[in-house]
Amino acid sequence: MTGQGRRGVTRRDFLKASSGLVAGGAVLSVGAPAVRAAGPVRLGALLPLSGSLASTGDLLKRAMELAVELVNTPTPGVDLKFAKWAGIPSLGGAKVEVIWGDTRAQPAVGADLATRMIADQKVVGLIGAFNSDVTAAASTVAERMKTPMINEASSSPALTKRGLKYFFRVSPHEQTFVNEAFLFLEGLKQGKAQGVGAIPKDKLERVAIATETTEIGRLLAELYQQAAAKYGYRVVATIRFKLGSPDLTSEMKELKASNPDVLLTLAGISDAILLTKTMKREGVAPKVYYMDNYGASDPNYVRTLGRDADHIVLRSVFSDKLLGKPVTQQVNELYKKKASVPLTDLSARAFSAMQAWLEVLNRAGSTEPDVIVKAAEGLTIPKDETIMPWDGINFVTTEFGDTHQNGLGRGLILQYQNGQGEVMWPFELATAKLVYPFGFAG
Amino acid sequence: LLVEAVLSGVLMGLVYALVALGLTIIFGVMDLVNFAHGEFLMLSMYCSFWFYSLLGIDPMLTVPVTTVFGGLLGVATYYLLIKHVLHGPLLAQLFSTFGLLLFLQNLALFLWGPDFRLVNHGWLVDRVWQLAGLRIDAALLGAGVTSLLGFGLTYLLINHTRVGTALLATSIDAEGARYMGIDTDRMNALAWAIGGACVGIAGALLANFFYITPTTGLVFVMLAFTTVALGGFGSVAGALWAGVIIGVIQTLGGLYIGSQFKFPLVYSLYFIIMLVRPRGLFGWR
Repeated sequence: MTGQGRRGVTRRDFLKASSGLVAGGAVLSVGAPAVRAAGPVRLGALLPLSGSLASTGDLLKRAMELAVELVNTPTPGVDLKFAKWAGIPSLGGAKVEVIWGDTRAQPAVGADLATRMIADQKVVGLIGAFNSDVTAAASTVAERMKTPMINEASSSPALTKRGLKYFFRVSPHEQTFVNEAFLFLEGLKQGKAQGVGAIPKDKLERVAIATETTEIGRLLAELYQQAAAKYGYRVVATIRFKLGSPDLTSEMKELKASNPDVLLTLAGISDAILLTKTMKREGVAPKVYYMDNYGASDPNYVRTLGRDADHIVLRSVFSDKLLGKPVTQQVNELYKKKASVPLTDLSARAFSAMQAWLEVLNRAGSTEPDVIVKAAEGLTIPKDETIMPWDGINFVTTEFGDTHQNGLGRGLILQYQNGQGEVMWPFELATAKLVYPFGFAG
Repeated sequence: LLVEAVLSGVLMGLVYALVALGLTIIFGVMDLVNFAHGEFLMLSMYCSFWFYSLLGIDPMLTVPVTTVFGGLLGVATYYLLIKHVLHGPLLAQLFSTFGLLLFLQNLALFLWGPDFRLVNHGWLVDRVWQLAGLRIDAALLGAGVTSLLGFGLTYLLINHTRVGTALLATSIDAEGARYMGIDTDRMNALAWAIGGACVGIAGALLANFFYITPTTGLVFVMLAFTTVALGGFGSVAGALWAGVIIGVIQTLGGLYIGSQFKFPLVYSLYFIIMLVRPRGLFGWR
């Protein structure tokens, strides 16, 4: 190489090149601040994947996986925007990768996993963590480490009453559900339920409450009591049982002695099965046997109990009986192929939370926490684009003092009939006649 | 109500006692805590369930099968695992059965998934008998009576046979027993066989009225440890009485003091006994 052919970089060249770079960078940064699209976008999912909630956690995981598969691989025949994206468009088509963490339903484990996922595995955000107490612990970590988190189905009202900046919830919470349970009972008295005449007030006034001794169990017992007082019901027994009980005989004997018209319960899948079996054995026969969905909506509940699950009333937020929307049918079919069971309210909400994350990421066009929070606050998923029987997803501040709570969600009340969850409330959406009073079919 | 509650407490307590019996025998002979005991119970329940589900055999009829199954499981555990860590540090012994717990639980999860299984039809399933005005659950009565039978047989085996005497000798002084010509290695295996067989019986009995899933063992094992400690480590009679006491306390406590206090009551009693009599109610060392 000659000296003629090779010339040093002059100050002028350097200035030209660097000003070009700066200008180019400025243009890019206007379009998409802090884009990091080189690798996949990582989300950390916290779920109970072992222990007594393993079967429930597994169903939620499959629903989240399905949403991620849809965004990463374009899938024809699904009327969801993100199913056509092939990655997150505003992040340069970056694929979404999920790091799964098994919380074992323990708050300390959830918090530890959240810390490690954020610090070591560099996730841009968290999804989960199912159990309200685990979600509370993990979201506290996320808040401290300035990492957005979207919750799918934790139902403790307190979660969205802490004013956290980085925490969002797609599902309605227990305050709403408990109120809806009593609206259902009030409707029974007014003769609004299909196939049942108006029930006299004095035939439906003795309420018994049976919940597990967890944080959500304590909270629900309180909410049931408050609502009972508000609507003029008499609480005749309040029972608390250990999570993962070996025996519920004494509880059911106490319940039988109190002779309730309505039994309101909250139990995980294992206790829900044991509770129902022990009730049958001990001859406990309330007129309405109402279960919070936590254990009863797990397909294992019906599959394990068979006909003994029939006539139980449970709160839900989803029903495959209300597959009016094409998108719900399409996702339900894909989910059935993947999980061998139809979508339930828990898996449907897990899917919806992941959907919210994908839409938020695309809206943000960035992996910067504060940009993501801003995008989430402005998110609106319309009614037709959610698989839930909701009016959509939109994180707002509610009249009950919740922040970052989906203001467009609501609950349903179902009754198991021949192993199927038939919609009973809202009464106008009822898909079958109510079987009243409750009695074991098996 | 009181009599019914006491009766169901006693019957449930007998099942707890049978689960604890296996644990206490293994400890008595080898000074070793089998953390995987609950998983032995879980696998026995699955064994009973599959006989019921695939061959239509009533869980009560599977008792001999699960007894043999549990016994073999115990012997296999001894020869394949315990024997190799027996002369190692104490920590290795502790962690070996803890590792076995994790292995068996995850093996069940791998083989059968996290699904719940339940025996929905059977001679005693969901049957209630009215006796002298009392409402008695047939499955619980069957479980209690069979547990008592299991206790009786174990007692006879240990106290009235030559092999039982050799087992007792090994449990009192293994080295002395060896000098007297007792094959202590075989005695250790026998302890594991009896321990596994006891929990095998309990598995078939519980399958009549309890759900089966890979974590079922954990529900009972905590109570089994409490029962063993309360009755005295290594004591057969102690396991029986402690099981019954725990069964009755949790039923009566749940009924008359408050359902949320039934287990705190059991553990409080355990705590008090440990303070006053650290060797347990019937322990001899």
